[in-house]
Amino acid sequence: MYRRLAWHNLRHNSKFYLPYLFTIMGTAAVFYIMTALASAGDLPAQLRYAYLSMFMTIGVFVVGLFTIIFLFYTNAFLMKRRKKELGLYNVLGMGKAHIGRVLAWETLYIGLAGIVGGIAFGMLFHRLVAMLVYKVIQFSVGFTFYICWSGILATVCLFGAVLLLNLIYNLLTMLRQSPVAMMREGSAGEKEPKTRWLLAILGVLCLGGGYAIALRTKNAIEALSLYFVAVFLVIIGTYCLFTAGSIALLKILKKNKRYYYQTQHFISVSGMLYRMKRNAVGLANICILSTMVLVMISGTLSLYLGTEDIAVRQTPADWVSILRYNPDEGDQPDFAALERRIAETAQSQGLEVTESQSFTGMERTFYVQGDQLQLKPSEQNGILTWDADVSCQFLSAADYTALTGVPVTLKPGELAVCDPEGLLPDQGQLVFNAFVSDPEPGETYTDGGVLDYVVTQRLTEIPNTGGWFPMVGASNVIGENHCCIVVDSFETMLDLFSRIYGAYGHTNNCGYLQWGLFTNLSGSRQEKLDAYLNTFGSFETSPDFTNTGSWEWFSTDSQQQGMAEYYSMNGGFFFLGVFLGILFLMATVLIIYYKQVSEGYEDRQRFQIMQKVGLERQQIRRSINGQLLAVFFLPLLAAAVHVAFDFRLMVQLLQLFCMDNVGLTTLCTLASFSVFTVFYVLVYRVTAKAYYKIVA
Amino acid sequence: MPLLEVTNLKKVYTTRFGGASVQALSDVSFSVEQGEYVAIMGESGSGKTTLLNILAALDRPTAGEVRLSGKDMEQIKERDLAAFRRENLGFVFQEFNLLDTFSVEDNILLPLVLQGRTYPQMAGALETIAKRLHISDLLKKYPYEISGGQKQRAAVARALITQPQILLADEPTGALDSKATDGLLQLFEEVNLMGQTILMVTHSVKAASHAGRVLFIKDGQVFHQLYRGGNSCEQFYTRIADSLTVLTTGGGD
Repeated sequence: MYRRLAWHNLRHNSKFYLPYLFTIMGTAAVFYIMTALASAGDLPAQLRYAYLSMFMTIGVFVVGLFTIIFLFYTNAFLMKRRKKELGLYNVLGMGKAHIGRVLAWETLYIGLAGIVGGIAFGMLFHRLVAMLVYKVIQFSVGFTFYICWSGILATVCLFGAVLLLNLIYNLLTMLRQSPVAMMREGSAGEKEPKTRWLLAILGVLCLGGGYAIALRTKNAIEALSLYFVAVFLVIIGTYCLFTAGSIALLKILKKNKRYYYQTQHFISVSGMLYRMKRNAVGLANICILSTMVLVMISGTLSLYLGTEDIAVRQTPADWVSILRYNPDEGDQPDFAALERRIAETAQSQGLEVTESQSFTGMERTFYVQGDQLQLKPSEQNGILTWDADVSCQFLSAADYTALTGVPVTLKPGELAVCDPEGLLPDQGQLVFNAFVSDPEPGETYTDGGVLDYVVTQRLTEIPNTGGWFPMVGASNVIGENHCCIVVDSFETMLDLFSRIYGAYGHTNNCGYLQWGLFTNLSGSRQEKLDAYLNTFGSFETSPDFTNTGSWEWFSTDSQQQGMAEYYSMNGGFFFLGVFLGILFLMATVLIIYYKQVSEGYEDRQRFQIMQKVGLERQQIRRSINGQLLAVFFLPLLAAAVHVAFDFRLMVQLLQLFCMDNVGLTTLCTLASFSVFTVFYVLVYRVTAKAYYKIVA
Repeated sequence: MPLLEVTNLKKVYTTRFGGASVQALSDVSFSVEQGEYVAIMGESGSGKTTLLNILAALDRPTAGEVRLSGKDMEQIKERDLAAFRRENLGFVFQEFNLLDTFSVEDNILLPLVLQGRTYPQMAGALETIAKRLHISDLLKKYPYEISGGQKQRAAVARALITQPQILLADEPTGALDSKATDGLLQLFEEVNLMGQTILMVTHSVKAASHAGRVLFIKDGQVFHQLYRGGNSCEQFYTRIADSLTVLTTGGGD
């Protein structure tokens, strides 16, 4: 009997329970696929594929948390709608224990169908999804189908537990209320919402604070440390403004009698007041979920599409070799021999060197004090002071011209600088003051004296020397205060290095001179990658560099390997973003659907009364249409504003991943927003239909 | 000329696919004079509600005509109907039909707002009607905060604020306790004495006994009518009850 009744109830309420069932199935399927991918058994245990497992593990936690929150939300909504029905059973003579049994059967049916269906769907789509992921991360191993038992177990446990908790919640709320109270629940007169000024003001402050942070961060590091603060503030602000702010605004409109007592305003203001009271939290949810979807997808998409760019910037040539040496400690590298050795290495793998380019440089931080560039900050009464600290990349005029194609001619004592922020004085002194404050035993400091300089040329192009540290390249965009200083000759650079070496106490604390070699090769991407892995790939296979003079350190990077690495990381990121984006989108759609349907039932009665009192059908339709549109597109609008403010932060955060193609990011954001809007409008159309079907 | 004139009214409901048809009204004719208080009685399914819906211009008759102040309601265009209802008719319903989202004041003002009056005009009309119906201290409250009797008073105020030619009441005492019923009937008598024409559909003998004339409807026709004349309420009550007994025990065939 109870089973039949439970089955009947579910069918009778299919308008509400079918979406609930789909939600369970959808989230269960996503959860299963995530756990299966996180423990992917068919991936080789190479380092670069470990990213996927890491990302998917993050995904499992996000999806799990999301599932818990979302299923609780949906269940609470369903219970609220059904209280009247359950109260009626109670009044008709069913004991609470009996109703409890009916509810238990319902949960069992829904749970079985949802979890089993979800896992089945998950298995079905696992293959497809895995193929997509492997494509995205450019991994080309054939896929074998397997069943992830631990994934099934985890899915069953998580969803079983959540549904059980939901059932317990439902039973408890039922036990607490008398049947009459339950029956009245649906039709209880709603109190007019009160204006909560404090909350509204808090909302304005939080949102303003969040936006201010987004507009004022100076660089990527700051953006990273403040990002979640900004997100938190914006979320709080959104909730406050949707709930209290909207009502405060409507109340102000209502107070203005001239405005309020006009046919269109009268109905829509009072209608909106109650709509906002009932739906504000739902709308704020929609707004925040939409923002998350947009930010996630546009961010990861632009990162993914920028991957090639990033790899090229990081490693400007097929092979980039960097050598460090200290001429003042007697290092004498044989550059020609090194270059030959690299060419031989390529030839041993059947590839020809098509282009070879070398340069020498060094990097040093100077502290600007008036018109002096000092090696260390000034000390006044034990306090260190400076006007600005600039990390300078030194190159000779010849190397600068070779790297950028920009001609530079200098005499001794003259400098050409690329200084985008204008930190360096046009005329001044380089001061090589010795570090004598706290000498270690055996260290001797030599004051390097003072060199006068004149800047005769301001350059705009920062040469791309590749790598992260310590060479300052175009890719190294973290932080600011970077500049490139071009000196007249290689000899001048050696002189500068000696002065610094002395000032640092004749130790390697002063760093090294750097010799870079760009090598471009013939052959396909795969051939170049294989050649690199076969030769430089590990210590055992690394080429023999004896008889190339003396030096400290030598290493070679491959553009192709960097690319593979970035694709596996950014691809995993992208996939996670899209996958979670779709999940959140699903949630958004469901919230919208429930909102529309429940509002439909509430509006039906009001609609009928107004008609009886003499409002024209069309007028009512127009008014309701307007309210519906406002309620529907408010979250989208707010999400758009959030995304616009977030954009700067996102660009800065992407710089952490070496991605600084702002044009591409803009394009990705606009594209994501357009696609999202189309989808949103589509959902509106469908749900509005459901709504009008109920009302009319 | 009578205020309301109903001649040979007929209403047939057909199902959508033209199957079985139900005759709700077969042939109804009656008229109401200015300032009259008329009650229409009949059992459930006798066609009372259909009749009221047609009078309220919420439904169109299959045949026959309804004239209000000599104007044929059939001639009014669909899009002017709502305005016509607003200007000429006032409604009181069994379940009050107050909007929960408006305060009592705003509920009463709703028809005026729909007419597009200015706020000072509305405020004046509201004050007058609120005093007359003794609801001045309820105005700022919300429907869910007041009793059934008070809600019905508010509904009456909403119906009367436009100074309609005729007040249509559909079972106005149906959802009220006896004390509130007495109050409402007394109120109806008062407004009727001030010249308001009232047409009330009811199956409460008590409610009908306060009217000046009672029409009995059976099987879609006006079957019988009683004038109160010089009777007191109690005497009229007995006569109505007697007529009803005849009606329900199948007399007249």
